[in-house]
Amino acid sequence: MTFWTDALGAQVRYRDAGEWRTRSLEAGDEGDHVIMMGGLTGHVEGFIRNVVPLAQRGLRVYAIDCLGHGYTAKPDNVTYHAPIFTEHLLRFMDSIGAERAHIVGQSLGGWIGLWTAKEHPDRIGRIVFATGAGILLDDEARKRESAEIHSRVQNVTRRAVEEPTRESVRRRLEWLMADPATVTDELVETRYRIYTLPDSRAVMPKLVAEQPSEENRVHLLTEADLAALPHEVLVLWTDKNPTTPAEVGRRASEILPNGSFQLMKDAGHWPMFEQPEEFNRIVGDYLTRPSS
Amino acid sequence: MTLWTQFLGGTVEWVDADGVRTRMLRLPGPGDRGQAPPLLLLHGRGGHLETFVHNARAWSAHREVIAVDLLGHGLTAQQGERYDIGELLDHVAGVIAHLGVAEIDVVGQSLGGWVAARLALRPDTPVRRLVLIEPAGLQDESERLADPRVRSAYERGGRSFASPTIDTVRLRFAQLLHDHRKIDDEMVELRLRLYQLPGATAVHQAVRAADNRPWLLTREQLPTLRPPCLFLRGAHGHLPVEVLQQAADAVAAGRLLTVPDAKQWPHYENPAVVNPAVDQFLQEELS
Repeated sequence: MTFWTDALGAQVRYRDAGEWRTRSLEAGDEGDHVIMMGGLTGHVEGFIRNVVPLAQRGLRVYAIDCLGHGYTAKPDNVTYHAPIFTEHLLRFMDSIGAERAHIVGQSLGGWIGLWTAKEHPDRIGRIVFATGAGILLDDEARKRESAEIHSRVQNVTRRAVEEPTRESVRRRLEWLMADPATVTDELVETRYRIYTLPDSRAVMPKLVAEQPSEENRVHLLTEADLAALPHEVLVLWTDKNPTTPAEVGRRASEILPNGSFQLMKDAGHWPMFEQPEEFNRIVGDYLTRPSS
Repeated sequence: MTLWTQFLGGTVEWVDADGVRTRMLRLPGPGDRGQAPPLLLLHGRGGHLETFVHNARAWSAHREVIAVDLLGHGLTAQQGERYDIGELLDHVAGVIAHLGVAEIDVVGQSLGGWVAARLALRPDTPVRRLVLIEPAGLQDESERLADPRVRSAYERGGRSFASPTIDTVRLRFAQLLHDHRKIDDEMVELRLRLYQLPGATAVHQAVRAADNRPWLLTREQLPTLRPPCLFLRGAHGHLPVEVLQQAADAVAAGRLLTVPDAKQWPHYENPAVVNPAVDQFLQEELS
């Protein structure tokens, strides 16, 4: 299997999310809208093993490159904090005529999902928060841990972005996975090509400086925020996540009024790519189950 | 290099070509520097747009490149009845109408070359320049199949359409190539998936059974082919060199290039020769 055969039957399109040209990998002609978003400096290929299988569950699925990412517009006149990603998501939803969408958000994508649900609750349906970022528990030790994770993510990402080589890109990708052999040459080549685009070289340093910065931490969702969020949220974690430990995800799912929790084995930060069959089954079941 | 990385930065969309849902790949050209018309790529029998995997990106350096699955092929809708040249031609005309361009260059291989030449013979055609790679349509089917090599390849090809398995698909792929080491597993897997789609066998069999005699590119018609025409043949291809040379001499402005180390798919087997040759041919007469 390669990316092309994984995505056979899907479309690769550019849509205008407001003024921002946005790359979308999409499949499915009917059913609820589902938007999939990846992590910091990620791109739609992270979801290449998910878009077609989830569309076959009767969903209209769009994996998008977030603002400043992949082949989507990378403006240099915005601040890459949570609100701008939410603005981009809403404009993308407008472009596909989706009043409301389910969100499958991994890492940063999960943070965008939760922040958007908090600020614009009517536009968001269910949320799958997969090895997500953006939550801050009250516990002091957890707060310190969260700050350390931001700083670590910033360091490993900065190295891959500042002087991208296939080797540095491969190391950053291997850091994401439970099994480094998951990182194929095709994935490395794709990411290398994206990181070396002229607009990536120009804007990614700003993105990587701002998104995990101290100033963006005011947009973290606190326990009080989570307790006030009415949405159905599946917190999906892994046993080998290199960032936030599973206990934080489990605790968040208990605070969320309509939260649930699942732990996947033998996966790191990219469960959708490392264990796609299980991921697709769990997410497909969750997004298609009848409303309670 | 994989299909994904070769086509990265491009789009894959379903477009409506005169009522036919058509899979279309587009690779953007150089933007404001581009004065050249877009280039449309048409694949051969049993083909699909990915057969240009080694070419599309290189050719997009100077122009937008567009490739489609022909009617009933690949993931384009199986809306044909006879699947003769006339139906394939109408579909491609619908594709060009959808693009809404005043001029277009066309590269066609085998069956796609036949369609491309027919398109260029139409009055008011938007075709500016034509590249025909091992084109079909220059010989009658009975004449073609009189060659025992062609007959045997034809029969093996039939098995890959009738009962697609990894082995039959690989065998048909192998016979297109001079050097079998150039078979790539991704293309075999892709072709197997496409050949196994519901209805695909019937389409391929209809394409082979179609009576295309009314559409043959005859000696009387070739001189009326106005766009400059580059013919490409594989040095080890089945199409007799005399047939191609006569055609190149017959058209208004034609030339023939023989591609070394290649058979039926010179664009795939020897892109190092084919890509710059086609690019230079298309750049002529552009300021």
